Amino acid sequence: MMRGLLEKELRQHAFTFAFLGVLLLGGLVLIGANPSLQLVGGNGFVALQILLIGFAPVACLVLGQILIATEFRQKTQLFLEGLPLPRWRMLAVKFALGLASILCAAALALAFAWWRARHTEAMTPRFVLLLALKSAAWIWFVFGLCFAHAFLGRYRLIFGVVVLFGFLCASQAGVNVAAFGPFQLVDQRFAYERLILPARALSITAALGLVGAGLGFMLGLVRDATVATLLAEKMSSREKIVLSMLALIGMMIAVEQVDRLKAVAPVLMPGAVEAQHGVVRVVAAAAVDAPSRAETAAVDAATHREAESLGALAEYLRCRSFPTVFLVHRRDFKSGDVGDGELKPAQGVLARVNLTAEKQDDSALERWLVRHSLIIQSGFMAERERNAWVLDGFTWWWTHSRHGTADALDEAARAAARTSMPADFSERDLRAWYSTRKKLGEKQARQFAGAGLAILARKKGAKSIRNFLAAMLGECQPADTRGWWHDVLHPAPARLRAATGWTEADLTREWRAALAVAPDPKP
Amino acid sequence: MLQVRGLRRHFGRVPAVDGVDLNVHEGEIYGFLGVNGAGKTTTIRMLLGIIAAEQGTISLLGETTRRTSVAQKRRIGYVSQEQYFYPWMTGRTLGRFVGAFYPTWDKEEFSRLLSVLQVPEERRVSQLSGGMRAKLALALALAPHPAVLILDEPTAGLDPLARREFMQLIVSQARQHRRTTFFSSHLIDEVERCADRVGIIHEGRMRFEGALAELRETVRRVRVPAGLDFTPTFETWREESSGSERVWILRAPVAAWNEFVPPPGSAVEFLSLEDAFIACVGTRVVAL
Repeated sequence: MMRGLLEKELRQHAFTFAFLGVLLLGGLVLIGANPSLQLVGGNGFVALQILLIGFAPVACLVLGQILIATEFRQKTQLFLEGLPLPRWRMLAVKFALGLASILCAAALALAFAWWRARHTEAMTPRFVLLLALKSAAWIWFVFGLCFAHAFLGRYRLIFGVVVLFGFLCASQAGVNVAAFGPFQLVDQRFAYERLILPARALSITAALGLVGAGLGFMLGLVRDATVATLLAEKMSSREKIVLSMLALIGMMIAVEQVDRLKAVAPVLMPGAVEAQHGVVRVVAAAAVDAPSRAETAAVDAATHREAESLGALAEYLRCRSFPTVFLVHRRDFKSGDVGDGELKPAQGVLARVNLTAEKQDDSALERWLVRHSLIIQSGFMAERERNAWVLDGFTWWWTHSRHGTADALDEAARAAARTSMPADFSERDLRAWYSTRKKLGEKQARQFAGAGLAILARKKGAKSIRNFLAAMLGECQPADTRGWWHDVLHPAPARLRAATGWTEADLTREWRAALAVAPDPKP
Repeated sequence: MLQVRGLRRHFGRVPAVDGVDLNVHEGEIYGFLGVNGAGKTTTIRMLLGIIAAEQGTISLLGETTRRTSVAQKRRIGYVSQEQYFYPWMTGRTLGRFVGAFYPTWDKEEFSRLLSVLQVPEERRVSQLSGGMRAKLALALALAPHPAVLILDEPTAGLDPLARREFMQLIVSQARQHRRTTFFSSHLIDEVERCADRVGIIHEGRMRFEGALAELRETVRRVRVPAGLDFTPTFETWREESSGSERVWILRAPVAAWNEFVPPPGSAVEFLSLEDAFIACVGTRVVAL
C-alpha cells in the first residue's frame, strides 16, 4: 500500500524531483569548487549554509505544493479517499517523502562538504554532529511550515506574501530575526562553531517544526478533510477583490508602522548647548568652524530663551511630550530667515538660523518653532485644512496674548480690520481654510484666525480656550493612520463644542460681529 | 448484508442526512432514489467511511460500526459520481496502483473487464471520454471481486446509450456473481429497470423503502369531487385541490386498500412509478 503510494508520488512528480536534483547539483558544485574559485568566503561549510538557506526553503515549498496543494486542487484526493486507505496514512506518506527527500539532499551536501574539507579542516565528531543537528532541525522547521502552508489552498499565496512581508517589516524595524531560534541555527556561525550546542535554538526550532507539521495534519484531517477541500476551491471574484483591498490596506499600515518603529538615528551636534524646560528639550550648536564669543553667547541665550518659551507653551497645551528642538546657528542666513533641517518626526525639529544677525527677529524664530513643533506634535493633523485655522491663529494669538494671559481681541480686531473680511464669512471658510488664507494673504490670515481665538478667549473664558487648544494642538498623535483616525473621529467642530459649547457657526457669527465693530486700525 | 440505523450527518447547521435507516439484502440490487441534494452522496460517503457519521450505526459484512473500517472497505467496490483519476495515469498504471490496496485484486479480471468494456489500457485517463472513465471506474471497482458494490450516480453525465449499456453491465455482474449492489440515482426509469428494491430519500430522511411492486401497489391516487366530505385515514403523500375536485395521493398496505370504500363519485387510481416518486419527494399540499 505504502509502496504503491510512494511509487505514485515519485512517478507523478518525477520532473520536479529531477529539477530539485539539478538545483542540489548546483549546490554541490558550489561546495566543491569553493576552495579553488572562492565563490563564497570562508570554508566549504559556508557554501553548505548558503545551500540550506537558499535551496532548502525553495525545495520544501515546491514539495509542499506538488505533494499536497496539487492533490487538493485537482481533487484527486477524492479518488484516494475512495480507496481502502486511511486519510492520515496518505498524508503521512506525503509528509515523510517530502521531508526525507530534503533531509537526504542535505545529508548528501554535508557529506560532500565534509569530504572536501577533510584535509583542510579539523573535522571533529562534535563539529559534524553540530552541523548535522543544525541542518536537520532547520529542514524540519522549514518543511513543517511549508507542509502546513500547502493546505491553505487558495490562500497560500496571500499567506506567503504576508509572512514574507512580516519578515521584511520585522528586519526593517530593527528586530534581530537572525537571533531567533531557527535562524540562529543557520547564521554566520554555522560553518565555524565547533563546540557550543545551541540547545535552546534547537528546541525552539524543533517545537516550531512540530507545530507546523501538526497544523498541516490538522488541516488535512479535521472534519474529514472538508476544511482542506474547501480551502482548495478556486477564489471567487468578490473574494479576490476583498482580499486585494485588505492586502493593500494591510501593507500600507505595515509600512507606516515599520517607518514608525525604525530606529531613529540620534541627531549628533558636537559642542551643543542643552536646555530643558518641562517636557521641552532644546539643543543648540553653532555650525561654524570656530564660533566667536558673541556667537557662543547668542547660542546659549537662544537655547534657554526658546526652552523657556516652548516650555510655557507645552505647559499651557498640557503636552505630555514634545518634539526635541534643535537650533543650528548659521552665519550665512539672513536676519528673520529660518531654514528647516527636515528631520524625521521622531527626531524632532531642527531650525537653521543666524542668531547673531543684525536686527535679529526673535519672534520669527519663535513663531517658526511653535508652528513646526505643533505640526509634529499633532502627527501632522494640525496642518489638515479643516484644522489649519487653529494653528495659524495660534501662532499669532500665543505671542499677542502674552502666552494666553492677556486679552488680545482689540489688537487682533485692529489688525484684522486692515484686511477685508471674506464676504459671508462662515464655518465653510474655516473648513476651506487654505482657500481663505490664499484670499487673505498669509500674514493677514494669521491675524484673522488669531482674532477668532481671541473672541473665543474673551467670550468663553481662559479655561475653555485652553481646553480647546490643548485638544487641537497639545495631544501627541502618531504620524500615521492612527493619528488620522483620531482626527476623523474627533473633528475640530466636535472638539470646539466639547471645550467651549460653541459650534463653528456660533463662533463665526460672533467673529463677524466682533470684527464689524472693530476699532480703527492704528495709523 | 448492509444495514444502516439512524445515520445522521450535518454540514454546519444543515442536516444533510437526518436519521436514515436502510436494509440491503445479500445479492439484491438496491436503488437509492432521491432528487439532487436529498442526501444520497453523503449517505454513500458515510457507508464507505470517507466521512464519519455523527450518529447511527452501519452493519456491513457482519461488522457493526459507526464508521466503516479499512478492512471492510477492502471488500467494497466503489464507483463515485465523478471520476477524479490522475490524468497522467493509463488504465494499466491505474490498475496497478489501485490493485496495491486490495488483497483480492485480480489482475486478469481487470484486464478482462477493460477488454469487455472496450477501455484502452494504454491510453491516458486525460484522453478518455466521460463514459470511458465511468467504465474504467467500474472495472477498478469489480476487479477485486468485492462482496458489495456501491455506485454513486454512476451514469450521471453519460448519454442514454452509454447509460443503458453501463446499467446492463452492472445488472449482469450482480446477477452472475450474486453481488450485493447499491446504487444511487435520480432517474426513475433506470431504477425501475435495474433495482429489486428501492429506498427513497428526501431532505436527508428515508421516505420509502421496499420493492418497486410494493410502491406501485401501496401508493394510489384518490380523486374526490369538490364539496364532498372526505378525510383520509391513510398516510398522505400529496394533496392537490382544484375547482372541481380534490386529489390525494395516499399510501396504505394492500389489505387496507382492499377494504377501502371510496366516497360516491370518487375514483381510486394506480400511479406510475414516476408519479409515486414525485408524490413522495414533492410538496405535500398543492393548490392548483
